[in-house]
Amino acid sequence: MIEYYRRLWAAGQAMYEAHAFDRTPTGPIVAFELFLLAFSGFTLYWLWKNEKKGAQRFFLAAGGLFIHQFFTSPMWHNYKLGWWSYLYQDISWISTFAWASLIMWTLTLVDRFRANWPDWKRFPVYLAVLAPAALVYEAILLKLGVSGYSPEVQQAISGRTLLGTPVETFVYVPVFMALVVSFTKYWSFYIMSKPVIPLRHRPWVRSFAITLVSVLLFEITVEPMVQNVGFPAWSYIFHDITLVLTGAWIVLTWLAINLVDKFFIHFSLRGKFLAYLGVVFAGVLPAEIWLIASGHRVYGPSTVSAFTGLHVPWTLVPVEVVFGIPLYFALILSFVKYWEIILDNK
Amino acid sequence: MTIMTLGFCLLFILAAFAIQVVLPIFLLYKLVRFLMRKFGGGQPEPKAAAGEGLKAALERSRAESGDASGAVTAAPQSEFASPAREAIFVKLKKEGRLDRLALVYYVEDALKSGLTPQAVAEALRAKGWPEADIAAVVPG
Repeated sequence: MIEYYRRLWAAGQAMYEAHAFDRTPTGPIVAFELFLLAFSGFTLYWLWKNEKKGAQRFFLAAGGLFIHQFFTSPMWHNYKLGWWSYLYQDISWISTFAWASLIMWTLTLVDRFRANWPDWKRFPVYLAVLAPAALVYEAILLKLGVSGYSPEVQQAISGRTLLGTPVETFVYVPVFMALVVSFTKYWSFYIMSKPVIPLRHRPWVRSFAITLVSVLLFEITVEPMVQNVGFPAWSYIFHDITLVLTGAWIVLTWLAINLVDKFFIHFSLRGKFLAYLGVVFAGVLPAEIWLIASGHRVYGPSTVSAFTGLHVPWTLVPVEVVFGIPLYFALILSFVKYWEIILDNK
Repeated sequence: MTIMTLGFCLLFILAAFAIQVVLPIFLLYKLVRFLMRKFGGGQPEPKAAAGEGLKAALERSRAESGDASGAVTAAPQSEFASPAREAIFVKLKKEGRLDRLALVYYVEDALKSGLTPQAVAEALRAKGWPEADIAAVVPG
């Protein structure tokens, strides 16, 4: 037993060293980190004192961000922040808290100043406030030499810049923010025991439309991470995004939501969410195993280099993919369900 | 070995332990509990009063929880402590009336959040719920 854990320890050490990168910070980077820490600390304190379940909601936002950062981390670099800053590989907890603070200020201020607006009307306002703030934040990180993009991302982007950031960021940031805001809001409903009206008749068509938008937008933003190879030529709609695969994810997500909502109508928001995830995971994992084994799904070099090298036993599937599936779908499901809830509970 | 390598190795081992030991035990525990509930080996179920309708049972459980206004004071749906209320849920589950159970949960949460029974009934009506279901779960 001890020998087993000693070997596990050695494997962990080897993995850490295999993913070495420049962690040495410069003076301006340290100053910026201190500013972010002060900003996050103040936000957390203010929320704790002034907002109902404010601290819990702050950590919800941070959780949503971490899921997104963990899932998409092979797409960019986040170097030179100092050894104290990293949580997993080059994901920084200081950066996660700073993003969470930005999101929580936006949600709180918009909710306070537009309290009589319905949720669906407030949502674009969140994005309109968050997107420019996020772009400024990204521009500062690029200027400091902290942020950088993987070769696959550099190949996928046009090369045009605006305010010092690639123009694609103007699509990426709102999509990323829409997912994280939805995740935060959905789970806020749960922790604040918001009454969510049960539906006698499921709106299947509306649900399909929301799922389609959600999956398609997320697929576009994470497209550089993986290549979909060998699908019929007609099915490719943008770069290597294929209608066959994306369509399958859309249908699976849509069915999971509607079947769980129909047959487990009495479940709480948490219970339903876990059931959606379970159904989706049970469908996607075998598909992913087959797609990787048959060469239809090829992960990019940056994604592969971020893998620890551990595989699911008897398969070629990296463990990160197994963890990635529920993380990817957790954000998509939150988005779809958040929109359904706010449209049904006006 | 830097402090970060140490931290990473510890996290790595903890994650492996959680996946290889904690998760299977947790899943096994859940499975056993599910089977015990399914095949009647678990705790005796609370009984609803014989012949008592849903509306009467709900009113009785609200009265037992000491809230005359009809609003339930206990916290979220998963934390029903009152035996009377527990009996209602068991009965509805046994009858397969999960839709009505969902309505009961919603009404409890909605009343707790400050909505009036009339507003709750209106909201349910707007979603197409039959009058019989609304009358059975909304107080007053």
